[in-house]
Amino acid sequence: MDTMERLIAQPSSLGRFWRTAQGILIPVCSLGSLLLLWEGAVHLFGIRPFLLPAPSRILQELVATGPHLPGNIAATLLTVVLGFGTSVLIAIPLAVAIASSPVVARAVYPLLLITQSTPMIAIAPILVVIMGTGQLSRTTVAFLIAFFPLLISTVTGLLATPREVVDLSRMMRTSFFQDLWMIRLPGAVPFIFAGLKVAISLSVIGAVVSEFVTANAGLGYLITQSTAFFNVPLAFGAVVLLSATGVVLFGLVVLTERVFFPWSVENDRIRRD
Amino acid sequence: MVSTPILALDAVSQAYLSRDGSEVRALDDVSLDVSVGEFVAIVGPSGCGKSTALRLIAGLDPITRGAIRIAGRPGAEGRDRVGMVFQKATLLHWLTIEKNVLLPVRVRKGRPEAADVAAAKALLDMVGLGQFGGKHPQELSGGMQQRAAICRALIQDPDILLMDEPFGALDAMTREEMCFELLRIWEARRKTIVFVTHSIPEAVLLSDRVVVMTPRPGRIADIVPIDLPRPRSVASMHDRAFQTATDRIRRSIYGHDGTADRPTL
Ligand SMILES: Nc1ncnc2c1ncn2[C@@H]1O[C@H](COP(=O)(O)OP(=O)(O)OP(=O)(O)O)[C@@H](O)[C@H]1O
Ligand SMILES: [Mg+2]
Repeated sequence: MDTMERLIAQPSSLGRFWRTAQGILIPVCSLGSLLLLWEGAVHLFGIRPFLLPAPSRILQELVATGPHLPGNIAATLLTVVLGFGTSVLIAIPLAVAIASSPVVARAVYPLLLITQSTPMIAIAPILVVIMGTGQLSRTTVAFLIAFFPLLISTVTGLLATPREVVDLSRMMRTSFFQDLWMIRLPGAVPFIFAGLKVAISLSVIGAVVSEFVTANAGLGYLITQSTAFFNVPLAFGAVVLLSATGVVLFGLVVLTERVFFPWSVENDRIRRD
Repeated sequence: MVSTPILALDAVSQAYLSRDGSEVRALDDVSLDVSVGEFVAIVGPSGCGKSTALRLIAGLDPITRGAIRIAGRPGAEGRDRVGMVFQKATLLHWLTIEKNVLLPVRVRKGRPEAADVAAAKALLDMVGLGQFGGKHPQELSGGMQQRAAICRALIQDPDILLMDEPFGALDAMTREEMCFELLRIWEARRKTIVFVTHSIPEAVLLSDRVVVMTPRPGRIADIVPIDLPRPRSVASMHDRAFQTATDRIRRSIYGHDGTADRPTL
């Protein structure tokens, strides 16, 4: 028996268990050894904490800051969610308008290109002057960063309707909204989710950038504050929390797609096979 | 037949503007009457305007010159009476087979009623897909998908069914099976069918008349009546009339009997 046959002959439940175990074990092992290496190197070479703190030191600092963390996480989350939410609410209708009307497309695209080619970090301080130091300017920065990729992928998805499907829609004499709701939007769902996955990660970046410029709470704020006092371990801790937040939010988007649009994920899998 | 044609093409010409600005004449002065319940096949080499003709009948493209009448009325008014089956099944992959079949009903009146659902089930039963109403298109084979697409075209109970190489993407065996399947449906429902194909034997096996077209510009070269008895079966292909008809069609396409490059079903 060659390897292929043996793999097929294997009881499938055992095979699946082994594959799942591998899916979890391998990342855990690689991450764990990296942390151990880091910890060991810091102790071995006597690197001082304000240059590179050991993982244990970061954890220690996070625990010490404990009571202050939830407030800061909540502040960042608020900016992320508001920025992401606004970008969804604006990007999807705008994408529909662009995909349906060449006039709108021609009118809007140059504007989008200009705003998109401008680094948001450069705009953030100006926005603060215009909009004040409150939540509004932070939300705006997160929104501006997350918005564009979502818009582009939604437009692409709406325009990707195959020609035969467009003909089918016309044969059935669909109204504009029927065509949109029954045919073009569902067809664009995989593209929209691709855009949402990028947008959620970019919202986190936008939130941190905005907190660098103006905030009195949040994980970005925690980083600027702690580095100002050379508390590098705490800054690292805030970064770890930010990554965790990003991962969880990304996971929520993936989960939403799996739960509400299983065919979108399935179809991806079929296409890949 | 003397009855008024259900479908009439009156000196229809169609020109498209190609990218470089030159004019492509897809159809030139095509006139054709199709009577109620008739099965008409259109054959011809690639690019001779077969799809164009169907798209014009279906109202998918604006017509350049001439007129199309459906049931005596200008084409634009009679369009609800027309159903179309495309070369690809074009089922929506996020809907189940039954929901795909019911899609035209949903478009027309919002929610399908119990009677519509029953009609969809009956159609799926008729084409042997009764068990598959709850499946998604990607779980079905190409031939099964195409059968579901035929059900979708039939759910509105159209008078005229337009089919543009509906079996072109299928393998030879499934294709033959689908031909007899289609004949069964046609005999049960008595639709008027206009059927475009590349395959001369397929056209002869199915239809009452075969319209032969020549390319650039697309013109009708010949209209061949098929005198094969119905219902037709595999045995029909060994009938002398089958041979005579295919030979005549080949001659009008290739200018000789085309034995060297005879296409197969
Ligand atoms: N939208 C269009 N724009 C420009 N030219 C077109 C368009 N549609 C069709 N044509 C041209 O019209 C001619 C006839 O095309 P049509 O698709 O009707 O051919 P066909 O007989 O269906 O060919 P096939 O058997 O390959 O499907 C071709 O030369 C084609 O290039
Ligand atoms: Mg064609």
